[in-house]
Amino acid sequence: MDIPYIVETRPDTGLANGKLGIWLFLASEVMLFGALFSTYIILRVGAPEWPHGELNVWLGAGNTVILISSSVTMVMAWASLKMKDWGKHRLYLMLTVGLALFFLVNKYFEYAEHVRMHELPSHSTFFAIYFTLTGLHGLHILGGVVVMLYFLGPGAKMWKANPDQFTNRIEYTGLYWHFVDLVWIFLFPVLYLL
Amino acid sequence: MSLRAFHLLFIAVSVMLTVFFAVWAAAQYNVAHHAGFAVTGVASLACGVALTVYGTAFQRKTRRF
Repeated sequence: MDIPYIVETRPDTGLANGKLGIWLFLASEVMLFGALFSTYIILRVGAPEWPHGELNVWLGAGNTVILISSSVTMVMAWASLKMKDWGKHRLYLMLTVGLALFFLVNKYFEYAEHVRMHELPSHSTFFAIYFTLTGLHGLHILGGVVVMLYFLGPGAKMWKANPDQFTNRIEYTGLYWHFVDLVWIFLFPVLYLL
Repeated sequence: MSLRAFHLLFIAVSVMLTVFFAVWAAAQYNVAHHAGFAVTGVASLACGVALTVYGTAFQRKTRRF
């Protein structure tokens, strides 16, 4: 039996089921990160003094450029499928994975430097919220990489069987990826600049 | 919301970030008078302009998606 509304839109929601699903998931993610951002605000407002200049702004800015670039390559991977260009889709998706891994390597070096300086979560409230927010964000990046690797590997078979469904799946992956990038767009100024 | 619309929103927010980063760099330059901050501010604004041009081109080219 075929599953309905995986490509065509459902009349009552106006969306394909997958798109409704990914937006419901992203809504739960907004609540998760929203709670942590709220925690940050409450801790910062209540603190008698808040540390400045603890983080490497240049590394953070570099990672921001990397993630913005990865959002461009991700949307290009999807647009290539819309134009039935399988080769370009693969290239852009691989570039997105590469940029995501580059981000994680930078993050590793940043964390390693803090560990070397004994700036662990137990060091201060600032580092506790810093590691919590960026660690959770890093896990989301890793999750995105796993999904993209699946679509570069075994999941790619769907393109031949059902290209429209595959294109939709890449769009949903892109929506998730843009959300994760958007979280960083807020994390960078909040943690590194303010 | 489609990926196209979300991407345009993301680019708009990124442009706002580049402006904010440029303002932050200008404030640091006023305090420290270090040329690196001035360069950072100008580079950030240049990125903002590049993203605006890209966003406009993307919006035009993907209208039929």
